[in-house]
Parts: sequence; C-alpha cells; structure tokens
Amino acid sequence: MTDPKIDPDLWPCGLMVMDGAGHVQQINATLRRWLGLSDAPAAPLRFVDLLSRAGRIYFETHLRPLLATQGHFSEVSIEMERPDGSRFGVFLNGKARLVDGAMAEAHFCVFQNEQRQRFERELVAKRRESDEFRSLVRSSPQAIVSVDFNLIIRAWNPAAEKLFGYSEAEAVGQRFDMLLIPSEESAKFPQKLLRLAAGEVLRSETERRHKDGHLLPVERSIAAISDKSQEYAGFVAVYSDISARKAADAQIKTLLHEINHRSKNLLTIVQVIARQTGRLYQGAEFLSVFNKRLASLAANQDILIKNRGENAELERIVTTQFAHLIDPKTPQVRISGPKVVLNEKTSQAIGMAIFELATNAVKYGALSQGKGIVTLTWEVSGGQRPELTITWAEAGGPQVAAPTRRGFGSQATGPILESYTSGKTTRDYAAGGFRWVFTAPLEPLAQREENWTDAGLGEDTEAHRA
Amino acid sequence: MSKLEQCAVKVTGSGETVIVFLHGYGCDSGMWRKMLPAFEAEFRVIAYDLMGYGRSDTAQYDALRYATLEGHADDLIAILDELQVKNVIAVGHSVSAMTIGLAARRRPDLIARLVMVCPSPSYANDGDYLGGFDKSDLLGLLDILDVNYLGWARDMAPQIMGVPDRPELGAELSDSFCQTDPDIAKHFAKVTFLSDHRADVKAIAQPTLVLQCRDDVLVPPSVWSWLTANMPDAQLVVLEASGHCPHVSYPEATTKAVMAFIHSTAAA
Repeated sequence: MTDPKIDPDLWPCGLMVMDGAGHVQQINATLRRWLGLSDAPAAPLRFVDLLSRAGRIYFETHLRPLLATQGHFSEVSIEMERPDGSRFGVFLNGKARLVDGAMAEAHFCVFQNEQRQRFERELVAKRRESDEFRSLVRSSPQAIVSVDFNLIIRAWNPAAEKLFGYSEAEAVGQRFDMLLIPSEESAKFPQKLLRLAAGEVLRSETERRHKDGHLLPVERSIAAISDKSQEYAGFVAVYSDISARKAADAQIKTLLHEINHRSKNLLTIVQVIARQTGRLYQGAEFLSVFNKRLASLAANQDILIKNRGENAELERIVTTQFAHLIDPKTPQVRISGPKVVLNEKTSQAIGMAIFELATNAVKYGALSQGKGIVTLTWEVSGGQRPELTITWAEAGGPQVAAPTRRGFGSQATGPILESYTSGKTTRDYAAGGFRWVFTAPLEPLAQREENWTDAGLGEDTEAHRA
Repeated sequence: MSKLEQCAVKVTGSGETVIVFLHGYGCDSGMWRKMLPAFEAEFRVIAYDLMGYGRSDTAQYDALRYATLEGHADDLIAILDELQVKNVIAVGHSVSAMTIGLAARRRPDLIARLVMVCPSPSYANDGDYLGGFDKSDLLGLLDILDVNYLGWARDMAPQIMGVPDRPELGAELSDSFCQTDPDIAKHFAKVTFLSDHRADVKAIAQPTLVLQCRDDVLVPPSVWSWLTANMPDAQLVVLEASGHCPHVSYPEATTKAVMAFIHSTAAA
C-alpha cells in the first residue's frame, strides 16, 4: 500500500512520466480516468497517442524540442484524446531530466480545463471574427466613421482618411459635427441626431467639409449603434465620394444647354438661307439650291461635332465644302495653308463662304471647264496681332464678269462673313480669273464664343447689300 | 541590409566543401547546435535563422513574400550567392527540406546534394496519397497556436515593450528557445502545413538523402515510400528514433547518417 501522502493516484491532477523515446512509463489514476484508459494498457503507449492530431504536430514541433533544449515548458493549452476519439482540454506543464544534453525522461502534470478552454475557444473565435471584421472595414472603399454618444469620433477607416483628408490620428477623438459638418447645416444636426436615436436610417446626398476647407459632394448613410442593452450608443456613418457623378451631371446639364443653344443658332442660319435663297430662286430651283446650302451647313456641323463642338481646322472645313461638288483631290483644286484652328462660329461662316465660292466656280467659273484651276491658300501674318488671309484664285476658266445680281452667295462671301469675323473681303473679277480675298485678325477667330445671335444674319444684313 | 545580416547567417568551420543547414518549423538555427561541431571539422558550415525566426530581422517579414516557401528559397539563393559559394550540400529539416528542394531545382549550380531531415511534401491526405492528416487536423494546429499565443504574448511582453535598461530580460529571452512572434508563427504554420510540394520534389535531380525517423507522428511510412518512388535520385535512411527532430534528440545518429551520405556521394 502506497503512503496516501505521496500516492500519485490520489492527486487531483494528471501525472505522467515519458521516456526519452516518447513512451509513457507511468500515468496516474486521475489521468487514466480522464482518458478512459484501463489500469493495465495492453500495448506500450506513446505520449503523442494521448493528444489530438493537431496536438501531436504541436508537441513534436514545439514541446518536445523545448524539453530537449530548454528542459521545460508550462501552461500550454492543448487537447487530449480518448481512445474513443472524444477530446478534452488541458493545461500541460512539462519538465525534462537531461543527461549529457539528451532527454532521459520527462515529467508532466496535466490540469483539466474544459471550461476555460471553451471560453478560450470562444475568445479566439471572437478575436478572429473581429480581426476579419476589422480588415473588412479597413479595406472598405467607402469611408466608415463611428461616433459615440458624446459625438466623439471613435473609428476612422483609411477610406475616410482619403475622402476627408484627416488621418486616423487626427480624426479620432474629435467632435464629429465640428470636424465634418458645414456651419450652415449644423443647426439642423441635433434634430437629425434625435431621428437617428429613434432608429431612423438617414440616407442622402449632401456636402461635407474636407480638411483643406472645400466642400465635397458625398452620399451618406447613417444609422444608430446600440449597445448590448439596446441603448443608443452613437452612430456609424458611411460615405462615398460622388464628386465624379456630380461633375458628370453638371456636364450633361451644360451639354443640354449647349445643344439647345446651338439648335437655335442653326435655325437662325436656316431661316436666313431660306429667305435669301427665296428671293432669287423659285419652285424646283429653289429646292435644289436650298438643299445644297443646307448640305454645306450639315457638313460643317459634322466637323464641329467630330471636334466635340469646339474648334475645327481650317483645312478640313474648306475641303469638306467641295465634297458635294467635285472631288477635292482633283488636280483642278489646290488647297494649301498652315494649320489654323477656328472656333465654331467662324467655322460656320467660312464654311458657308467657301461653299458659295465653290458652287459658283462649278457653275460658272474655273471648275465649269475641264482645264480650269482653283487655288485656295491661306497664311497667317506674324507680329503682335497676326492676321489670317484666305485667298481664292481661279484660273483657266471662261471669261468672268461681275455678276448682275447679288444673292445669298455674295452675302455669305461678303457681309455675313465680315460681320462674324470683323474681317474684310475683296472681290476681283479680273479677266484672267475671279479672285477673292478674306482678311481678319486671327485671335478672335479661334476664341470660343458663348452666344451668337442672328446679328449680321438677319434683316439688318440687307443694309450691307450693294 | 544584406541577406547575411537579415537572416543572422553564421559561417564556421573550414574545408573545400560547403554545407548549409536550414532549421524547420517552430524553432531556429540553434536546433542544429549539437550536430554542427562534427561538420565544422570537415566543411565550411553555413547556418542561419529563417526570416521571422530566431535572430533574423523579423521586421523584414513580409507576409506576401513568405506566403509560399519560394520566398524562403529566394533567401537561401541570395545567401549562397552573396557568399559566392557553389556546389553546396544543403541540409533542411522538415518544411525546410522543401525549401532546399525548391532552391535546388531553380539553381542546380548552387546546390549539388540535398539532405532532407524528416521531409513531407504534403501533410494532408489526398486520395491515395496518405500524408497522415486531414485538413481539419492541420487547421486545428492553428487553433492551438491561437490559444497558446495568449501565454506567449505574456512571455513576449518585455521584448515587445522594449526594455533596453534591463538587459537581463533580453538575455533571458534569447536563451528561451523557440520564442517567435505569434503572428509569424501562425503564418508560417499555414505555409508549412497546408502547402503541397509533391510536384516540386519530383523535379529534384540532385542526389538526395531522405532521412526519416522510425516513429514520427508527422511523417508516416506512406510518405517515406512516396518520396523514394517519386524522386529521381533519392535514397531513404530510417533512423531508429522517435519524434520529428532527430537532430535534437539523436544528434549523433543523425550526424552519422548525413556524413555517410556525403562521403558515399563524394566517392561516386
């Protein structure tokens, strides 16, 4: 009979001895009972056989090397496994006796800690969950801000740093309303807080203050946070940057405005063309001339649209005007000049003028015969106030004479163009060929114009008529 | 900072031939200390701490770089290149047996022979392949690391807090073995136990010693035979030993087996 004072079977903890090769040499009754082992095990047991499979890896990679080198370990939380596969959690302390640097044997004491381990597992699960959640918030593309019931900012994610310009360190601890809410809105804030606390979720587009002072358009959702006792504990606000969308909205608005305005301008021109053409032509002839003039206008419009309604290049404008009449690449037409970019209004006016000149040349001038030549050139003078000069010169055509009547063609190549551009036009019906020269200060021709009325296009242009 | 400093590389011993030792999962290069003197008498010996372990510069531990063993293989190659050595004998324990294999495949000029101590190309069972564990067992290891992190965090506290005015604490910690940053330990555990290098080891052409322990719960005999059947030039030696760390528990027998392999392959 063992002395009850030292009998290992009476101790309320597991006691075990393992030899250097890892076999269990001795195991007390308490541990045998916990493990559900019979008093006399049939086969020699290895210590690792008493551990869960994961525990075995841990033992062999961590605990056994620790015993062999450091000689001890303590308070390791690990699971033991019964022969039936069920498990229970224990705290394990181990101490080795080293002989010549090798482990002769090791003593272990084992404390069952099922309850504490369950608690630990819960803690671990919670920690993992909150780690995962934290990384979710950190990687969110939306700014997330949490605020306590004293309106102090408690959390500020990287997206919030990016959106509002304040670092996490700068924002956390600050008053939410003072940091972000524009002063003109702050009066309404207490009422909003009441609605939040009552459980309402606020969703709206609004403006918030950036660190550098500017207001930025944001879409925000705000909801109350309640604590465990369902009391109002603050709120969480989620913001996304909608400045790109707002800018797009504004652009659409501008575009609509511009389309409206441009349509009106076009209608004004059409009105003038109709009126002027109607004075000289009637019936089928009217329709034919009117259609061609509208086609010229449409061609101009194409160029302007391709240039997104901004500026157009002179070479393209003039080349296009020949398209309905003659192949502009024919050797009969010689077009050359430096690159000149013109605004919409000037493009329209020059386009119409060239159309009229080309029509005239095809009908009566140099292009009415196979050997005539039209040379269209332009140049820009140097100096402080450069001028654009466009020269239309016909050669090799039939004899020319000054026309007896002046219709839309001479309006478009004369007064209309002049009034649009503050330029001058001259005509020379020389015997060798018709010559037309247009000169105007270049700068206003390239500037973007806001509104053009029908001044110079309407009835009062009649005054210019020779 | 050179890789030699980052990984606390130590070069000792002298000899024509160079041998490099890589420790396995869990500890540091101190694991080899009972074996190294025998090799230092005959070889130039390189030993170092894997990034994240021992005296390595753990601030350099980049979870992305070390998300696979390739990052550690890069380190080995960088170290051998920096030391300008070639035709090295690489000894890797456990997971590092795979690391030296990856490096040997990529740079056959650097590594001429391999010694794999208790290697397993994959711990997880997969169809006919018996690695010894189910995925759930391996995930359970991460749970153990998680809960024992609580204990470690306390042990590590003085080091984390930084106590330059109490050097005795530092000395104590450097003596206590296998202390590792818990986050790194968990990360490396995932890399070690959840990756599958079966395809990689099939491509190792250099002579390789596969050294296993008779009784190792981590590497069952099914893995020993898989390796010898699938590696082009591997010879299996089984030590009459138990556990997963024969270089710690049975340093003499382990040394003897490694030496025998080196001498036999040198003569060939």
